[in-house]
Amino acid sequence: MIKPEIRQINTDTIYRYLGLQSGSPLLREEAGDLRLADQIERCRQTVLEASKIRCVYRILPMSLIGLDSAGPDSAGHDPSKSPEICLHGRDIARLLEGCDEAVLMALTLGVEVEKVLMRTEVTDMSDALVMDVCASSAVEAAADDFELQLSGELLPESRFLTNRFSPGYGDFELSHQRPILELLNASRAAGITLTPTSLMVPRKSVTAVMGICRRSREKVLGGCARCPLMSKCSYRSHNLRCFI
Amino acid sequence: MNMIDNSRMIYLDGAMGTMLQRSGLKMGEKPEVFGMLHPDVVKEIHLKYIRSGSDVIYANTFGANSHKYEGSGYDVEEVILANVRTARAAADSVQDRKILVALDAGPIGELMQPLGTLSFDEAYDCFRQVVLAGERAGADLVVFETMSDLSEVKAAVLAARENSSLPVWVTMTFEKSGRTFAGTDPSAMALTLDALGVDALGVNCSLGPEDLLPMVQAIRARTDLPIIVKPNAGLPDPRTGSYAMTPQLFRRQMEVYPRMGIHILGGCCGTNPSFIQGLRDAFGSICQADSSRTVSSQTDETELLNGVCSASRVTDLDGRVRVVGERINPTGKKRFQQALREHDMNYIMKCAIEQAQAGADILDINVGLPGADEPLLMTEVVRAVQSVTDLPLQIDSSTPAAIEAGLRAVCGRAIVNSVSADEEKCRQILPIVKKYGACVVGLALKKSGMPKDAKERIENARAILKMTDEYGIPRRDVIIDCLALTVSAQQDQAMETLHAVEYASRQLGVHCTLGVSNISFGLPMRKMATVSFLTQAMYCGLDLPIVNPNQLEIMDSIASYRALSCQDPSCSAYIARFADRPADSPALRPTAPARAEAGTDPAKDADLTQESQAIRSAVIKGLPKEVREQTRLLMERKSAMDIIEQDLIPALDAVGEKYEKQIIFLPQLINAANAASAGFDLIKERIAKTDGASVSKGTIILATVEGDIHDIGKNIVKVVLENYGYTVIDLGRDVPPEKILKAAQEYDVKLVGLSALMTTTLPSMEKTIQVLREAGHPCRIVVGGAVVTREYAQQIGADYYAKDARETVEAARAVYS
Repeated sequence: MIKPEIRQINTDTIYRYLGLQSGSPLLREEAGDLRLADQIERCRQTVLEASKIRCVYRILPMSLIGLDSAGPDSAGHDPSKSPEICLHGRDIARLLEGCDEAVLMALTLGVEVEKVLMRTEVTDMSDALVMDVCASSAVEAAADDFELQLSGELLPESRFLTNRFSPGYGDFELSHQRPILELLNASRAAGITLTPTSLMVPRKSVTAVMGICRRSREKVLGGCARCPLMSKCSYRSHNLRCFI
Repeated sequence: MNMIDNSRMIYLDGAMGTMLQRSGLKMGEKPEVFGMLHPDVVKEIHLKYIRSGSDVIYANTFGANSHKYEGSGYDVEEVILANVRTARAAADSVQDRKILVALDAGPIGELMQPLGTLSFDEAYDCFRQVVLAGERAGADLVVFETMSDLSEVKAAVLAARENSSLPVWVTMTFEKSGRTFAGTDPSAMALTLDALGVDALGVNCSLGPEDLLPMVQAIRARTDLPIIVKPNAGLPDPRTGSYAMTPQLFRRQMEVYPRMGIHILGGCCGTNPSFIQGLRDAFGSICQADSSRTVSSQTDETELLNGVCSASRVTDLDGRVRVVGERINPTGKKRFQQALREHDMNYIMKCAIEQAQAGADILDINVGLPGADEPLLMTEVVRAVQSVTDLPLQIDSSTPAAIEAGLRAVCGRAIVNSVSADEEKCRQILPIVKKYGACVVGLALKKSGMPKDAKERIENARAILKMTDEYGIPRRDVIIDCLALTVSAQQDQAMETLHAVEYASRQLGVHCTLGVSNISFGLPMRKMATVSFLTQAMYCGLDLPIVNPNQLEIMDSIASYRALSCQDPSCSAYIARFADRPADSPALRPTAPARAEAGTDPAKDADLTQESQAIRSAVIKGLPKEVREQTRLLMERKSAMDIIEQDLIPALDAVGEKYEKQIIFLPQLINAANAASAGFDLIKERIAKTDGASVSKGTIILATVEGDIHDIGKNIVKVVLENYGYTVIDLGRDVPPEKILKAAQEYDVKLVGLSALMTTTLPSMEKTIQVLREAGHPCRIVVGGAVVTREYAQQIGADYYAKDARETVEAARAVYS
């Protein structure tokens, strides 16, 4: 049973989320500003202390995954196969191509962090913003750690993990949240629930799909083309990408 | 209807879901619909459990509620009727013993406010429908199980008790950490549910029997109601989803429970009829030990730990001193009154957090304001305070409707403050206290007049106790207020109060409270008299002093008393409090103004006075104390409006410019805004005190649209707008269009700001604009949020698009200029 941890909340990521470009002259100038650096450190500690990670996952053979690259509205899927879950979209189909198994995973920092954020928004909005950013980075860090640990388990079998891909990216629609969380029994096993608009509560949570395959391959990414934020993405305007 | 025989073991059933999957339930298919379509399959599962020894079977209704079934094409009530009838048929087919059918209701599946979007009333309605359908179908009792959120449980229990006569059982699901996912503590659960009058309570799911023991022990320590233990067969395997524990191991781990007198046992995920058979074979039908309420009535009830609580924190009522914070109260506080009138919950939440940080154990909530809707305000304030602190609450009102509203809204177990010794008052309020199982403060006075001495106070206290006895409210839940009167007006009364406290606590065996600060009203150096009286009163038995916890001397004296009276083992809290405190505490000295810094500042401008330069520098550097101090100095010479126009706003503009140029970044912009707000707050306080004209530059409504719960962006905009002098009506997140329209009409605003973070909630933004336009409201609309673009803003008919807080200020300037 994998129990992911937050090994570190990357400082570069925090600065990047806050709008400072890593390595830019501005950042160096700001690094001299101890007040901001201290604030980030303090907020990072608070978030780390409040985070209580819960993680659920299932590893399913591909035969139990229904794939439908044409998108959610088409009727391409064969109902007689009776899969445990159907995933729609070209991006996810490409991710799982040639895999034997798929990993479905959900993890959350828990309501504790949400409560701290809510309280801090009342007392100090600036801290609240920095904590929010730290918490977002923490979720990613925990998911990274999950990948790392699972990869470690697969390595002796000469099997490899594909990238992690989450609903809401590319053409993999946010509406997948519900079936993924239901399959994982996530509300009962990790306390992750959904609003009627498919947003996760606690907010600092993530769901993801990964494939397991026989050969290591170049990690394929969804790219910006289908991202709803592409036209106004501040990363892109600085020639950066939100994925590393 | 009491169907629990405490002398006998009661066996529940085991898992339903896994049994259904084995019988053909497909992934993603709703188990209850499957049950309706295949009643024979479900009946056979029930019969297997009955044959293996179950006395109570749970109908296959766990997930049947209107929220989970929305858009499913099935009628929830029909689904419940069908499944309860199937269980009924199975139960009634057994001749030799009585099998009970439980209507099984799990969580609704959405998190409740404030973290989620589900409201208490929606949850209540949802459970009411379930309970009514279950009762109609012939269920013998209702079980709410696998619950995580105590607010949701409260809605469920009230819905059941207020709409049916079915006995109510509740089990919650705890993590190994000892709490539920939503943070509920088992002690708090037990106090709250015992108070609400459930018939049995306990734990189910999540862990194996052994791991649940600490939670069961915590519950046992707080209640003598029958306890239910229904654990999982360990944890599931991530590849197969199956559970590893054998019936033998399960049974061995369960052995401890009957020995504790726990006699309602069953299994949850991963268990099957052989697990139940194993329990029955091992433990038989007679309860080995008995600790239930009916049988143990001779034992000393006070063995149970008493307390009040929120969902996640218990304040014990064990005679030790607990601080009741008095600050949430508009009496004599203009600024607080204004906050209540404007529904400015942020201000009130700050008051709550401040007291919590100062060491309060309980918060008194008083929202009595002439002409205001007290029950409505009480609900609003209780929810707001509980969203940011975990302290138990004391509902302070003399209006029955406001008290009931408060007790309904509160999550946990509260205190009611107060009833007097007048029978009429008691008859109005005590039934409400009893219904919600609250503790109650009895004021030792009568309508006919203030008591003149200790004897009269005690007579009044006895009269109150007679009434609480009559209503079945245990003495340990009664708190007597012996009335602290002003010593400068009635000098002899201070000692009378102390004598009465001593008698009430030692002879009547009740808790004592006092509004301590009354004592020094009208005296110079009030805190000396207050602290001295407080110390004497604590020695006499005052355990729930109502004080201002933000006053250092008060909390210091309580810390000292706790150490001296052995309430603070090894004086560790005392040492922690004072170890780093210099002999002459800096808190007792006035804070030094930051004038020294002003001269050396980069923002120096030859045209500015020294104070103006200092204020600008302090805003830019984000130093609230300094801004406040400089504002105070400036107010001696300039009008409030001039300070805002000539000092605070230009300073903010300078910061904004730096932000535009990316010389500073968002946290620093907000720091600056917060610093400026220290100046605005001081100005507002002065104006509130003098009832002067408002300095507001205009009122703006802000809301995160319906369906969206990400509101940090909106909150940043709010801080910045407020610090530019605008009054912001913050409607919060997940706000329906109709509510925004209503507020726009009520406050007659010229600008409405809408925020949305997710693509999925953009349609709500569009709809809100439509609703405002169709109603013919003349307001302008500014929109923003991560996924909103300038083009999209135009397309949906917004007047302005703001990419950040700065641009929202520009929109506000355009509208209000």
